[in-house]
Amino acid sequence: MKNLKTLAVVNYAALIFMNIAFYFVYRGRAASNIYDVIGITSLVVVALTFIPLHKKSGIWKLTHTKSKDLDERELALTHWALSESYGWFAVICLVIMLALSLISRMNICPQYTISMPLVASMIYLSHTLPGTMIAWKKGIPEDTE
Amino acid sequence: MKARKLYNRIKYLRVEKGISRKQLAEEIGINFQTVGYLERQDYNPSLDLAFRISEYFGFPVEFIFSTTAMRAMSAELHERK
Repeated sequence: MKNLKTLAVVNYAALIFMNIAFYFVYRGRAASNIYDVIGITSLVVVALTFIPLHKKSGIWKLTHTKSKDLDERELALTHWALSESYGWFAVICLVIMLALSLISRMNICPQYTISMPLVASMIYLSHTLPGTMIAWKKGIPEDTE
Repeated sequence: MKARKLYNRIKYLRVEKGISRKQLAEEIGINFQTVGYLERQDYNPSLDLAFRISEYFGFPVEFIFSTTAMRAMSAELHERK
């Protein structure tokens, strides 16, 4: 479970780094190549940590299976994870909107709008947040058959 | 409302029957990981699942599940003698 928590932290930290790096690419800084490399490296880290955290642990399957194929414990678990993550996702969206409005108002980068990496990250977040909730708070037991 | 912990004898009955968690899970229609949760007493089953388990093992629900810690089955049998 501790390992899953570490993976979750690395996964989302890399996602944040990627967005920051691509933001600087968008701003057209002189050293944009460095930011490009940081952004792409962060994307690779996101992909590499996604596999053990969501795929190999079985969490992705748990949160993306139709409810009729889940048993009562799995249903209760996914219901809890979805309701928790909906709340967090709404807060994250509002914070991003606030940050964008501040960026625009403070004249940091007036032309900056919602970018493609940001939208892609939000789609990724909406799909992985319930699973990350399960990995963080409940863990996955390594039961043998 | 915090649910009370339910104690059970599922692990002992399954081992006595000589079946795996996966076989028991298939018989009662749940995931094998849920059998693990039940055996560790980390999950309280619904009434429907409790009845399915008791029907599968052929024992009354109150023999398999209890709200108090369960004694070893051998100790109970010795007491009945």
